[in-house]
Amino acid sequence: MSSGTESVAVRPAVAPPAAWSFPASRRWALRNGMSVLLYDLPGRPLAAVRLVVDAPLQAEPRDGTAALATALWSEGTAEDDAESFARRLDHIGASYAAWAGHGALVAGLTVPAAELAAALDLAAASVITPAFADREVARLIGEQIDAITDRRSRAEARAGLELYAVTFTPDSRLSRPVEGTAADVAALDAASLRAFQAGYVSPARTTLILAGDFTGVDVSAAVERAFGGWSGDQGAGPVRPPQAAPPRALIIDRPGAVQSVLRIGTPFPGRHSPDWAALRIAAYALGGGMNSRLSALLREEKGYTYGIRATLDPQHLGGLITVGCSVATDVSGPALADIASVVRTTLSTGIDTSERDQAADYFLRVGPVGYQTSAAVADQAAAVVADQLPDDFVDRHHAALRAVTADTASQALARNVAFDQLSLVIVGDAAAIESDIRDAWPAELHVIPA
Amino acid sequence: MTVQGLGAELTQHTLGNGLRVVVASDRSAPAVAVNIWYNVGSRHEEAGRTGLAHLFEHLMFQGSAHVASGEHFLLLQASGASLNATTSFERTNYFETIPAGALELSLWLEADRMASLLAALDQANLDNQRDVVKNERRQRYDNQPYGTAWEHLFTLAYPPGHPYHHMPIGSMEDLDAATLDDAAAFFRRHYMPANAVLTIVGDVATGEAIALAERYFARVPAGAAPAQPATAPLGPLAGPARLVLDEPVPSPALYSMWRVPEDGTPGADAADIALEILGGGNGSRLASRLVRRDELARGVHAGLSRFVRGDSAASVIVRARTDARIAEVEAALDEELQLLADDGPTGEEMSRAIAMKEREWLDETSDFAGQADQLSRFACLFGDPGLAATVTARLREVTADQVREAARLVRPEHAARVIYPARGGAAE
Repeated sequence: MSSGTESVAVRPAVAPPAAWSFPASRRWALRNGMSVLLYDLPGRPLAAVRLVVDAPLQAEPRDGTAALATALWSEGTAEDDAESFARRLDHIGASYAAWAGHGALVAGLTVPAAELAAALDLAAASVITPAFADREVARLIGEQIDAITDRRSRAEARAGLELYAVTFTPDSRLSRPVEGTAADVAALDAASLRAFQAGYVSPARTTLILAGDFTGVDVSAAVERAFGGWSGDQGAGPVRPPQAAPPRALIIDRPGAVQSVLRIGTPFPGRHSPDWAALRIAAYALGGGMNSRLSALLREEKGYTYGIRATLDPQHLGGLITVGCSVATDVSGPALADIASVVRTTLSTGIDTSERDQAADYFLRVGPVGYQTSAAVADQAAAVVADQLPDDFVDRHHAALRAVTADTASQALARNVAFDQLSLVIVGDAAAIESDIRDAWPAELHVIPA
Repeated sequence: MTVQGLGAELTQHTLGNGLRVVVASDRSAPAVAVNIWYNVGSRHEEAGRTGLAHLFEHLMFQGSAHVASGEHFLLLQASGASLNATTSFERTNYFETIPAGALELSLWLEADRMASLLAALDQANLDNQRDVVKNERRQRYDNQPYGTAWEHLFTLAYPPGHPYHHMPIGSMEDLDAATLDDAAAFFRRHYMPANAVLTIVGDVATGEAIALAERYFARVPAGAAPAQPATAPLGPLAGPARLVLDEPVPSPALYSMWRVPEDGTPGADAADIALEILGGGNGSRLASRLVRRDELARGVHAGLSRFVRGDSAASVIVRARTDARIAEVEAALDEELQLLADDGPTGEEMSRAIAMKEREWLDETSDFAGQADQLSRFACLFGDPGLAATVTARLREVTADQVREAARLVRPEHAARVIYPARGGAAE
């Protein structure tokens, strides 16, 4: 710190950040084979719990089974009906949510660390002895169908669903919604849920992640009490990587829509790819920060959109690279033409050194900012476990980011993205935009009703 | 990151130009949250200029005397920052969490725009961000099912001319009408050190944080902060106000709003607990009745928008099942509202609600950014950041009788209600 007489125009330098690494963990296994991953985070009184069950959606006998089963984990157990389970959670100040992802089933809780033992008892009951009571199953089937209808009515969610549907082959589970279709869900019943649960939810395939300040809490005793009696050794079968489909371009027609939701995308191999670090840097330069190429042109120069992003969405064994934004209906064609132009240019000429540095500096420095809370640490750990990556993945990834150059980032982008292999999905008013879209996008365009 | 200690280790300091500085040193992570609340929001907007406070917030990222357009984000993101700004009814906040080594850069950037925004403000920036904000409005409100429900609720619950009659996003017409002169006048009227609070939380020694605040902000020109007139409390609506919207939404829904006491009063805390008992979490009365017992809804949400200078807004949202008859949903909701008003809560419900609110507070203050935002809130709107340390204690003081009194304010007869009867909804 100096005395402060220099010109107001002089920008303070940023001191190089201290070395940072992802919080250390301790891993152990119970006798039944369940793994425990503990992140002790001093000063974090709100604890995060994540139960990650390695049951890929490909294992489902029918789409939507896993999503419905996990939704029912909090709707009654052997000891408590749905009402009683909800109240028990509330009384210890816990929140609970469970969901199915393409790679794993996850049950997540946040709870004051002092209540960890009670929270683990409830979490354990929810995954080990879910009641799947007929009445609750029927109710949740109805709610799930409503939720599917709701999601399809939201333009951005709909665009995301359709992009996965067109970029992967129909027999790739990734091409189909996690929750299944309304018809899938209507065909489910308590017996099918019990069969799925018995076949794929077992201690040997489960990792319990705990993050928080557990001072004064006997964590291992609480874990043992909650999960030690769980038995079973069932496992999931082999998993096939998703297959890319030929590119398509389509408009989901919503007459009268005031905006068009634009999404372009193409498959990529996900976090396991040797290009993962380089792709993150290239995608950030293309559409990461507020000053990315796409944002600088479409938001800050043209005002076409509230926000535009290039996103890597790593799912299990594969995922999508996407560019997405919402634009006013009357500028849909010009906006898409600008996106196409920026993407083409970036693919052909790559990113430059200053863009590489901007991106790498952001990713390498944001760690202590982004991983302050128990939940942030636990969620990252859960993603790593679900994707079957090593516990020190984040630190290895940071080392890989440091090694990325502008050239290797540019090459990785060109290797993984070919312009003529990009699919396009637009949710908007076809009558108003179709001809402009045809001018802006060099592919056969299909229009389908919403 | 001891939440219980929030307030205990606070240091306050006021600069010569009137800027209030609040510091909470916490060395548990090598990061610092910088958070500025300006005491200006949509309630300060004039007729025909709704949306101006929020549009102006966007202009604050378009450069100042020594910062080019876009550089604020560029410099901070390259330093590893997470940053943004939001505009509400009563305040506008600007915030970033940065690695500790970028603290000086962050303060310099905030000071430069507080001191010299008008040096960079021009028609091109205004026109560009006007388009961006209009697209924000389309994306978040106009192109969403149920997207305009909240706007309608505030319009119904607060009379024309009342500061909370309109939402911060504003109308397209008013956004179109905003001029460069409007923006400049808005800056001159509201953006001065004496109308702001700067909070710094995290990995910096208290003395150093105050010295840095002096170093970068002391040169910001002083200006007289505008008076902050409060609106006399209106009390509950005299009778129900209803709006039925025949829009193509996927399922029927009921959005309700009530006027309840202003923030900082026991009445607001009691309303908060009453709403938690009614619709907070899966164990609430409305979840139990509407979702599990009657199977009329797939979700209920209850919440309190705490306003300091006028009646707060209590709300309950019921997302009905696709095949539900809206009249049946409304009758069941109203019965539960009336029951709580008549009989009050049980002791079990009181302890459940307190546990939930305590968890919620832990969540809100679980990182430096959340702590800084709460300290700014209490410093800016109540004049005392230390009040942040009393939030859960004040909620624990609420009695069952007070909850019953609060529940009387949220009875059906006082409700502003937006109704989406759509049965069957979108055919897809």
